[in-house]
Amino acid sequence: MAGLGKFLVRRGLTFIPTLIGVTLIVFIIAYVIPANPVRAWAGGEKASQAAIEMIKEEYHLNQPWYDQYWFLVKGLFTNSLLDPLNQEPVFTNIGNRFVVTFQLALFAFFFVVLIGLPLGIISALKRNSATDMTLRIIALIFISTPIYVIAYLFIWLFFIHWNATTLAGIPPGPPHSITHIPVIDDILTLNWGNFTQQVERFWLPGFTLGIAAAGVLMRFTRNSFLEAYSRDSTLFLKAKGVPKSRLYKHVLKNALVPVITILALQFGGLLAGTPITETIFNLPGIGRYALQAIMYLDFPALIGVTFLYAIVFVTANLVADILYVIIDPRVRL
Amino acid sequence: MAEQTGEYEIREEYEMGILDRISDRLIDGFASFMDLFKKDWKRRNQSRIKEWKLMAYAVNRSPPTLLGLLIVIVYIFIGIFGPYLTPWPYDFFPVTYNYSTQLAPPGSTYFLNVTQLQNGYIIHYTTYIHYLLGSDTYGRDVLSILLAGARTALVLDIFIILIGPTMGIIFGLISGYYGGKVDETIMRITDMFLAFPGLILAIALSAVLPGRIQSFLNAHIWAQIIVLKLFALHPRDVNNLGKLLAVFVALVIVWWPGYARITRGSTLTERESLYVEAARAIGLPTRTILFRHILPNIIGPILVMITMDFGNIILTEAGLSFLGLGAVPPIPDWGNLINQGSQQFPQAWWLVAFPGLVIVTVVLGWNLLGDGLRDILDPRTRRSLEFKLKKKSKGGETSA
Amino acid sequence: MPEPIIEIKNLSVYFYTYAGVVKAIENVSFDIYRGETLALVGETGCGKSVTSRAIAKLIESPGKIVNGQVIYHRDDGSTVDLLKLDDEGIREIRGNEIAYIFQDPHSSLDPLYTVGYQIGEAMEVHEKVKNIKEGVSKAVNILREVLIPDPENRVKNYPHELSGGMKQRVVIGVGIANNPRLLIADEPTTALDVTVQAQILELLNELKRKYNATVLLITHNLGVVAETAQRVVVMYAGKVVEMGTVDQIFHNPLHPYTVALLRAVPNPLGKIEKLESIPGTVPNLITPPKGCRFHPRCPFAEERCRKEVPKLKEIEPGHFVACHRY
Repeated sequence: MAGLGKFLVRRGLTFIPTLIGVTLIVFIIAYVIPANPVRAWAGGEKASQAAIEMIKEEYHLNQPWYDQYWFLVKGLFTNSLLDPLNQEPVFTNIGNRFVVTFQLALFAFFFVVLIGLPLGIISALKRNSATDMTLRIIALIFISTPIYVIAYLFIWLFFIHWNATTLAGIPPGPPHSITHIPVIDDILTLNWGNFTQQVERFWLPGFTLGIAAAGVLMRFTRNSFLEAYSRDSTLFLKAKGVPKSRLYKHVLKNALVPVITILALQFGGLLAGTPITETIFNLPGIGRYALQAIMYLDFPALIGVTFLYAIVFVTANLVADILYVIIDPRVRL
Repeated sequence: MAEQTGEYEIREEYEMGILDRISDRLIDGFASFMDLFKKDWKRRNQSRIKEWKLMAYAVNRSPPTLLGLLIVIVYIFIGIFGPYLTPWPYDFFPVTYNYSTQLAPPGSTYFLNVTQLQNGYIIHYTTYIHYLLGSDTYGRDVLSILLAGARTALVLDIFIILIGPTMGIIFGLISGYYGGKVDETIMRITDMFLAFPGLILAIALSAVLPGRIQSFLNAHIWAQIIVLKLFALHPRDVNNLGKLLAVFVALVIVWWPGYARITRGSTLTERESLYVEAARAIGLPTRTILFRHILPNIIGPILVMITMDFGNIILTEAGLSFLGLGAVPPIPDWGNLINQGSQQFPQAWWLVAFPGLVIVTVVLGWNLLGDGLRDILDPRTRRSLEFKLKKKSKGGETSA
Repeated sequence: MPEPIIEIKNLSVYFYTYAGVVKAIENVSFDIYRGETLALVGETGCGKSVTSRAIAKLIESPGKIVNGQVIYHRDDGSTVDLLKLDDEGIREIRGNEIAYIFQDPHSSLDPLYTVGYQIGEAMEVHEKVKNIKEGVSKAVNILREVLIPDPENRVKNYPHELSGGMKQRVVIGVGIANNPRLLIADEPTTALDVTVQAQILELLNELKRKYNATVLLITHNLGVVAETAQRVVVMYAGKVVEMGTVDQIFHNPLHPYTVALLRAVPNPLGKIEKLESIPGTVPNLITPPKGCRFHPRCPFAEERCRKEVPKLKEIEPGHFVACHRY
């Protein structure tokens, strides 16, 4: 694994242009609009001219574009960039909210793996049977449903009808925070009371977010399994006289190789796909923060958030590649 | 299907269902049509026509795919004719909050005092309305909006797919074929766009572009007329077009990088094939190699993705209008109805349930069709499709 | 008098595809005698691979064995129709008494397991060893037998770390691990370099002698046939057209197809003259020609050939041909 370090460095270098590019895109978007965001920042209609001028100075809006861009980027990295709406450093805002989003994504991921993997394998084993057809149709239906429809359906079902969850507020984390992620810290510090609170609040949004991805994973696992099953190596195993159970072990191992890397990418996708879920379930995560930033034309915040999203994307891809190297002996650096 | 392969050879007969006969007629009709334009087309493409017929048979024997096809056909039909089939034209109800019939539950009936401007005269009359599926916060008939909204969705679907993936495919072909610096640059740019969460990018663009687009439209009347006609909208709604078209531009920008990536990957593999080398050796221009040779060979999975993206675009567009971007009333849109429903949740359940059901059905249709297409185009799954045969020589039925 | 180890009677395999029913093999009958090397020859698509796989019921959907018997004579004298065995019954025989070697070594081995594991597994599933670990240690000896250098270290290698020739040796190792009675080698050298081919064939011969086994060798290379086989079965378009000893076939080919085949390749046992190709193409097996399947390309075709399917007739002792001219 000595090459791993070099591999990471090489990949890291190729990602820097991507990260820069993302901030550039936001920057360009920000300057397409004809309207002046400063007025909105300064408080809308009631803004005084003096306040507007002050904000313009502060954010270098009177300078040429490259100067403004540099100011934003520098502010990002030194966390001195202030969100014009609440005067806090952008990354502090983001940090607090990212924890919520990460926890949401964790819950969703839990459901994705719990539902998607086993059902995908069952579907493949019982290929073309009624079970298989039903599972595939159900998966496809969930994939075809907009997430807000799923959300309201589940809210109606679990909250209004069965009262099995809460929709208000965020339970605080446990007293000792290690990873700063409440659920994980609860488990690590054995704080079961807080753990239950977190679960009560997060399981439904997590389920909503994850169900469509679970459907995707189910289909992918099924295909991967069937593909691995139809290989020549499976025929050779049969010719060897290997019993069915052992045969499936071989096939499963081969089938899971691409699945595991897909999981890494899916987790990245879950982290980035939370805006609507957070809005509906009232969770203060970065998804909702990004939406608000767009609605209020809060560009410093937007640059910060999209930068974070880009890092998430890049990291997820990197993890997927590393996993591939670890699992498949054929892939070497 | 009888094989006319020679008088001394065994004839094979398929059990030809009515669907097979229909698909045969359609394909033959298409072949005759092409014959009109290019001489001898039918004869030269004989084997290709036979391939298509076999693929049609495969589709006919897969109930989910047929269901998907049916849904898609209905969707396209309503997309074209919907606005003219509605019990109430989409703009019948002025978009104000004072309307007395707002949020009527499904199945209710109201008497309405209508004041309208017609041909310069103000007229009053009373009519009764039966809200089959209820009404929204503006008093609009949900059924009418659902039918008219299909047009909005279909037009967006068609034009986004026409431009976005096409651009992506072209970039992908160029990037994969030329390699080197060109490849690096194009891939860096696509990576930049892909790293940006699609939804956020779409939302950002949809929020930011309407102003500019609106000014463009106001300056160019011909553009206004075209867009209004396409979406079957009344000229008085022209000021809302900016937001609608912003979604169009946003989705085109979000959609092209994915196709560029995939096409590039396939092109890289195909580039090493012998037939490409041969084509280069005989001096074919690059454009020909790319579009006449490489592209048809890699188009399979791309076509499947396009089919499913018809559905995904509907999902994303509805998501945007759910958030208040894109199509706003009075423009009919499915996502917008759900937006209204969410604000009244759970009282006005019909505003979430019915549009939701419609969206799920349409997207499901495209996904089923895409799935079926993938099974047909994948040579491995094709081999394992089993058929029921009827041998003419034996007379009985031999089941597979 | 040679006794048969396998008797194939009227074997027919059809593939039910979306383009039609492919009659891959139809009414194929021949015997494999104990201790011999029988070569099954024919061009690509003639059905030789299908026949070989059908012996141990290795036909997968959409293929189906529609007819026939495969009588296997065990060492103790008892016989069993392999096609009538249930799943567990045939599983016990596969890899144990009847072993396969397939054409492409790159796709035969599982890329995620070491070669030692895969050889050991062959022994473990047939309870010749107690567990995989013991199997792996025995695999070292097997590797030595198939002439792979440095077997103690090689046993821990993954397939992709081996060359094509070595991979095929591993595949052979898996095949002989349980001392099989019948080795079915489906074009074992086609995917390998010419220099490696000779080594692999020699290895097979050695092992056959050592284990006192029978070999069914499938190939389209007549040179290999002349070198290694005692008897030959010639197939065309899913049917057996001629059978006999190597001598009979090469020096006295009876069926027009065999004659043409020998004229199309350099004849290793005769004078090398001008090479001629056979006019026409292999028939479509969804709608095979009526009567004799070779008649569209046969220079001697008569009216009878177009209507009637010729049966195998013994012309001289041990030499059979399916042609109306005899």
